[in-house]
Amino acid sequence: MALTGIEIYKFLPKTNCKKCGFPTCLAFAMKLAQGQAELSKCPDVSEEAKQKLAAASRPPQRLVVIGAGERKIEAGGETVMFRHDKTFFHPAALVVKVKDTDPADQLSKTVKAVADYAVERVGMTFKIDGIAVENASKDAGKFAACAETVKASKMPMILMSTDPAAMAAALQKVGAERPAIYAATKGNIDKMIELAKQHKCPLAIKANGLEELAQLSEKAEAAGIEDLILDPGTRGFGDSLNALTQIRRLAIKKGFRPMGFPTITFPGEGASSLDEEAVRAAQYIAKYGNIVVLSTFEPAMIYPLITLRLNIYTDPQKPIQMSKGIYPIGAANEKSPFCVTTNFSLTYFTIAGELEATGVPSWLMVCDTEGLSVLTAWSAGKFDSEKIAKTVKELNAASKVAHKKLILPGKVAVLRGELEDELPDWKIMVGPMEAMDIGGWFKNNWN
Amino acid sequence: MAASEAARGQRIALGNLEEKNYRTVAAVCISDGHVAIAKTPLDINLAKQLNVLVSDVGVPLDSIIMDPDTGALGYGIEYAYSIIERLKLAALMGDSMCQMPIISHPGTETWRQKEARAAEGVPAAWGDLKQRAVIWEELTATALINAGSNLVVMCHPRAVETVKSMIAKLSA
Repeated sequence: MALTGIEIYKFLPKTNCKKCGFPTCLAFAMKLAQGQAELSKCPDVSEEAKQKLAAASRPPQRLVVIGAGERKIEAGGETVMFRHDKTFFHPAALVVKVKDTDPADQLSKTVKAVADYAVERVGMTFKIDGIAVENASKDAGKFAACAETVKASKMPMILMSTDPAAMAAALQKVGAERPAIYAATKGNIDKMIELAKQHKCPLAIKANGLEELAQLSEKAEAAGIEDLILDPGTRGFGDSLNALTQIRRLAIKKGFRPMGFPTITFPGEGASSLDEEAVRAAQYIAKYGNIVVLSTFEPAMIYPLITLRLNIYTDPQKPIQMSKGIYPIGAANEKSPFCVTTNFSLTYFTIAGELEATGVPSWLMVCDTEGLSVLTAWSAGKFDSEKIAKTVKELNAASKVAHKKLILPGKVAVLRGELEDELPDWKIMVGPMEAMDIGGWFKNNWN
Repeated sequence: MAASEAARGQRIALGNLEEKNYRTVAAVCISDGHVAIAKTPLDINLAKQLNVLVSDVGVPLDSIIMDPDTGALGYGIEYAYSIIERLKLAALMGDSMCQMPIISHPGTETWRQKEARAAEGVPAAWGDLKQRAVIWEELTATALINAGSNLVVMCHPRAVETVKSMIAKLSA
């Protein structure tokens, strides 16, 4: 939580020496509070003051990195309770768990499938973010060997064991990859802190409830661990909602340092079905879980979760946009119908989906309307006959089709006359009002 | 009108009242003792406004349900999600025109979508259709319930079971 000018002033030497470039210490303090001055400008501020001031200007929730390189996980760094207050910044990490008791060939298959998994949505590619390795065998050697197998996939890792000896063995093999250490508990925290320091890895803390969690977090931070991950020990719906909300609220609203870290959740643990795991994971994604560790690798669950995460974590001020272009739907050729739409991804996605469903290959030309939908863009003057004509010429639409017929969204039928003037070579047709009626429209209006 | 009369005395929820037609439907709600569902197109201000209009023509405040519209997962859910969160926050802060229960439609919205219908011509990464489709509906409902939706209209029996179980556990 940011300090006020008066609060900062208490830490300054109060000599008004002007070395910082400001006439008085109070003036300097006011500027510091606004982020318009650097503390380093004061040559006489004490070490203690420096530390206290640095602590106060820290972000409310730490951003913790797991792994390294292109696929590293960045968890946390959130600043609001509700996406509409501003936005959520770092999409919850989706991790799949394997066990060191899994048979070797099954393990390799799963690891490969998880690492290779990729799916596209609204023009972006999404992958699974990491692999957690569970020490189900309780054997240090097996755990280390399993971790080493997973390391070869280059996926960010979470090592799951509460036995410091097993954790140490695994870290010997994979510590350089910056895996997360899961977990320090009341019973083993001293040893786990040492391992975290030694290998410079983020440390997850698993506690029984928030009180214990805060205590252990404080202890770890006092020992010098900066990258913590929090597990309040809840595994259901109501208890997790409660605990994770409290953690986020304490960090964001109260600046309560011990809770200022990303959370880790386990929707599969204790779930009675895939459906239950899926809806728990959905709750954790929406409500304050920063890392979500799935027990099951099942694309039919993962793709919907990726989509939900994308939706929740989209910046409400910046709707996802498609690029301007002419997109083929199916095996479109020069005889295929040519439709026009805007670059709001939801609009594009909706009409593209309906076009595909007709089974009639077609072209869909996307105009740049700055991410606005058909009606919104039209009323804002960003989707008019001039824009459409310009796009037709820029993208050389004439080269795609032999017929020179262009289909307008029904909601902007009013543009037809003007567009015919702008594009004299083209015949302008008015399509249906709703995307889902395009199939019927084709039957009645397209040969 | 016919449905309203036939159900007189049962206090059904009758929809939809929209800006363009609310007076007539409000009238039968009042005369037959039903609850009015006020529907608006994903706009928090229009939602509040319609509640004001509907209560002004005489529907009691405890007989109005809000339908701020629903987008399925991947098809605009976040718009409904944030509007519902904002309505709930306003309600809890004392805005009586936002305190009506909220209804969402994960069922109809989900099953219109490609993700719930297409088995062929979709990437392997989407997984098995039957499983995926039900999860698609379940996740739509889960997100909106977490946002604050009070009533969800569902379709698939397994999705109903999953969501009912979740609601029971949330309230436990």
